[in-house]
Amino acid sequence: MKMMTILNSLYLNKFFDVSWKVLLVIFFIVVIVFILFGLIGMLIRYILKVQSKAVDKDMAYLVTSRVCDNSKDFKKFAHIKSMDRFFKASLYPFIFFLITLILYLVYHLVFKEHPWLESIYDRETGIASLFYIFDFSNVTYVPPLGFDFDKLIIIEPSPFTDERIFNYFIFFFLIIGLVWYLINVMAYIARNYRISKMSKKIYSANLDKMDLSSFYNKNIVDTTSSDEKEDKTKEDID
Amino acid sequence: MTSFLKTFGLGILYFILLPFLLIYLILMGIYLFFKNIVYIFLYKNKSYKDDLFTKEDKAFKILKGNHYANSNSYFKDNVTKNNEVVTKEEKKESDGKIIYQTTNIYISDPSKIKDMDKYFNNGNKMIENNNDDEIPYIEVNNVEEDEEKQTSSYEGLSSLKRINAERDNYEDDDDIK
Repeated sequence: MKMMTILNSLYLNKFFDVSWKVLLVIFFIVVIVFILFGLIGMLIRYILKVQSKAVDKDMAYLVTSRVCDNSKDFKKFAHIKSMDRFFKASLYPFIFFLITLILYLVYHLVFKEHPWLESIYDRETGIASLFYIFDFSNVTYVPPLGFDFDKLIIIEPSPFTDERIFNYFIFFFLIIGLVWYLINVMAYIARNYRISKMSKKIYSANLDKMDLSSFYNKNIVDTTSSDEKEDKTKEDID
Repeated sequence: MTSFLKTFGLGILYFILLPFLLIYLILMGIYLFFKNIVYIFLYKNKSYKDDLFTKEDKAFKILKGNHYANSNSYFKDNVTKNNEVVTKEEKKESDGKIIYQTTNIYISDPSKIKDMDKYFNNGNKMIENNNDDEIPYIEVNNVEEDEEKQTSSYEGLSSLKRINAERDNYEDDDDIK
């Protein structure tokens, strides 16, 4: 018991005094990060849903005219049209990739001292020279949940030079082309998902939602009430 | 609260699945990159799409026929959405029968009508211009044989003129009241 009280006074009290604030901050940061991920994911799902509607636009007239009357044909034509769309859409990112390639070649032909496999994220000549760099290599851990930030090294952004500007442009065109291309890939996947979903839905012999009783009982059961019948007979007499 | 928890849960799920999704996306991107290169050769080879083209033509013809049969069809609602449509009726006689020939006049920008012509008529001359007022129109040639058609005081007038005349009469009636 004595031991516990000594421990309490020495360590645990200090831990709870100092750390509960840090833990609270970490908890809120984690919650915010997850919420942000959730929101971004929901946004992407919504965008994919909108993009997948292109299948409806492409196939509407083939289905409504009943030219395409089975799921096999539907899949075949929808996939051709989807690929067609992807091909046309991915021409633009490929233009960006082409510009990137030309810039890359020009850069290495002009500045011959740089090796061909030099990273465009390089600290000296690459995109990293645009930003502040935090070097954590010398930072030490202070228990229970702290860091000694006095030893943190901050490297400031470097001024513009011809080499750096070249790399910035290479990065700019590359990242735009890449993101654009991946968005197109996502749209293609979304369309494929919709095609498989619609091919099952449109041509399935599903009677779940059909009220067949209305067909069978049409001539058998008289649904008019006795009051309505009386009214009808009165009208007939009049 | 439920939507908050739902978003939070989805966030955890996406956070865990993100690397896998990204890997899948990148692999799919590489696969489609090579597929695109193959597609360039297929794209040149038109026979790859012949089946689709014939089916598309067939679908357009069927829908065109439906359009003529039903004035509230897909094309009227979608293709000629912003166009003003005026229906003109002409009375003709042949073999002792009275025939009413209806003609739809689309007053709009001619470029859209050219597109329609391209799709519907496969190059046959469909669009004609009135020399007097230069309004492009599409002839529907919806011939109806109706021997017992009711005669009215507006018979022989185009529908636009008829509507105007009816409206004038209606306004006159209001004045009398």
